[in-house]
Amino acid sequence: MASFRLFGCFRKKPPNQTVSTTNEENTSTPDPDEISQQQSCSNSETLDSPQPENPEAMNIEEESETTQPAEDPGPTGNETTSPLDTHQRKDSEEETSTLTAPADSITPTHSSTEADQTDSLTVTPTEYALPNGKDGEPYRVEHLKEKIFSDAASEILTYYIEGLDESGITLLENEDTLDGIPTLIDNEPKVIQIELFYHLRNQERKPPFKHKLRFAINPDPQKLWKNIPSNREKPYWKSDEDCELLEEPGSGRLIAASKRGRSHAHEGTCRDDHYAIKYFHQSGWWLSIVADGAGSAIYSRKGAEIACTAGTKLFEDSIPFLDSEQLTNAICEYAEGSESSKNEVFGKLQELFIKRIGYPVCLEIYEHAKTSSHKAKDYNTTFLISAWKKTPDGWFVCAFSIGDGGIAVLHESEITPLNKGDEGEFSGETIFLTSNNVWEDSAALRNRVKFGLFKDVHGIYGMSDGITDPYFETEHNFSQLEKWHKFTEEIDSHLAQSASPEKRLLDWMDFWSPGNHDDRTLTVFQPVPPQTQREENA
Amino acid sequence: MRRLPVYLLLDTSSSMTGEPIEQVKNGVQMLISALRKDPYALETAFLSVITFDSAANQVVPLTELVNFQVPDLQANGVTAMGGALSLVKQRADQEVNKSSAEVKGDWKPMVFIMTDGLPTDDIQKGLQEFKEGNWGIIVGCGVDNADTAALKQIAGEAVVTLSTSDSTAMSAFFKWVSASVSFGSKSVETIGKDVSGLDELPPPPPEINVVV
Repeated sequence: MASFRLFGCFRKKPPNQTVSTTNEENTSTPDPDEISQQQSCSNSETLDSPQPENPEAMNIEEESETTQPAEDPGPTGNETTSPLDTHQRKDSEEETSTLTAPADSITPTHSSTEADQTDSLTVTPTEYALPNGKDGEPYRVEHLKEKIFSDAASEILTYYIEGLDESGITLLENEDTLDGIPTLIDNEPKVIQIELFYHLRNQERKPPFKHKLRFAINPDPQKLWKNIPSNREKPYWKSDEDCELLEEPGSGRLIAASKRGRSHAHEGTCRDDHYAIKYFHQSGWWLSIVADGAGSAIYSRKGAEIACTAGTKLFEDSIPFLDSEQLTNAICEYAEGSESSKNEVFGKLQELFIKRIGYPVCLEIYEHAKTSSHKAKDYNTTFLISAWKKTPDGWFVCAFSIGDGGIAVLHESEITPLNKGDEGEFSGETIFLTSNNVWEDSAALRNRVKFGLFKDVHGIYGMSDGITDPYFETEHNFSQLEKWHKFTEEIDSHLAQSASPEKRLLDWMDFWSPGNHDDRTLTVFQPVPPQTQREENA
Repeated sequence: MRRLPVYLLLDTSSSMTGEPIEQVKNGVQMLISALRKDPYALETAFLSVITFDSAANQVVPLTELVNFQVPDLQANGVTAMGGALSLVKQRADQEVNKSSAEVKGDWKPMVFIMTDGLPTDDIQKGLQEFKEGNWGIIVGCGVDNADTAALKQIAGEAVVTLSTSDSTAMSAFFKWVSASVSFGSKSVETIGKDVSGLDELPPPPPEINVVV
């Protein structure tokens, strides 16, 4: 049989202080400060004595005649233990609980003459805290007796609960289970306080004891997010979402979408992300730029936009350099495995991305800031640029990135990231195109340039951290094929057989991921499958 | 998801007995209720309560806001503030994730410390350990005759005072804590960096005094 320490809570109380217990007093819900508590015990236990490990002590109250105001030691009140609650203390929460009896006339079904004549009771410090629930979600607590009374559960003959009326939760008596779907009004969180009345074995005829229970119902955060349109009067206003589709028969299609995050929608602020995509018909180059304006920078949405427009322009100007005979040949030899050619390609791409594109884009932002009388850091943005072209040896893909987000190629059942996420140790601080230290560290700068030749390309992706955070979370995961499979399966199924895949991509961006509500921007390139190519060529 | 860890360090020494400790309890309850109305906080905030009297105790380990259960608080003993500082550093080392290639790091923990007295233990030892931690915002709140000099050592400029004879000040403080936590969790998305000073938080309400 379970053992419980009945009198733990008495030790703090003056033994002789008593209050006469009338039925009325006992029937009211005890105020935490005035919990009608213990009786002077006729079994002559002194209140300061060590606690008896004696189950029979539970019967004491039958003979007692007085109660006294409880001083509530509370759930963290060290050794004090409720008569029937021997180990649940850490679970108990928001207040103190009482085990008060008799509940006598509280419930019509249990009121009786006998009840009216019984008094007093034992009490206990803790109020048991049940697990919290969530608005609109199934709530279920099984093995209720055990949870509340732990080892003493077997002493409970019957019990019932009051106070659940409008909670959406009911007690399934036969199953010893609380069950239901709690609902909130106007998403207002609430704490549900209920009372559990119980009879101990051999005390069926006595009025029930009472135990307070409590739990909170949380709102569903999804219902709390507001969607406030951005203010068009704001400087550098941009639309809350944007999308675009480029298709080139025989080559592929490039789909882009960018959507304001819930964090901005909640505040009615503008989207900070930006993108640019382009196909250059004459040269056959595809281009994707994704820029994520820093949340901490007031005009970063403009910084991101400049990064995209200036980046596109500068790339276009650089196509003759890219398509020079020297570089084209070097790429061919690199495809054949020449190490020196690889270095040559690397050198040329460094010149392209650092000298011809990246740094000039950075300067353009500084220039804009200067003419607008703002600081360049007010325009802080990340910059992820990738470009690709079909060659006889596969797709040649090159990329350069500053800041978080991701660029990757999915090919031949492999994933190859083409950037290194720039993330801090703790805070998610990243670096920006406009950060001084980016341009000072030339070795690190060179490492931002990535390239490769890829066969059997499934997709080429560029994305802001609004996508990488919820789908990949860490740099490690960004290189894990199984993570990519989940991601691309979703993307592919959304984009398949749609006349407007760009709109579908935008819809997909509404996906729900707790805690991840940043702006989301994604560019997806899907090459025409070789088989289709042949058909088209035919 | 980056979590926003929040540590509440509450003085439960005997001088808090009675009305003050009740006010603190109500304050914590109010804080939790207010945060539960904020979708940012609901999704990202994690809270822990450390009490300090004759010893420091983590009465609630770092717990997701939705599962958080407000602890009961009892006042007795002296003021082991140094112990509380050591403990919060130790617990944060255990409970807060740092970024690595494999792990998504949390936001730097926010720390709110409330006391009405003088530290009775060796605060320097605790302080030294505490300073080795990587914290976001740290706010000290002196109640009544608290030692604001000690709080300033802990929280720098971010020290406020209030009087327990004024229950509206206590409730204003916890409302402000709630606003600050909301702000911190919001910065996860909209600001993209940690808040680190009092001037980056919502302005404190007129009921509480900023110690200068």
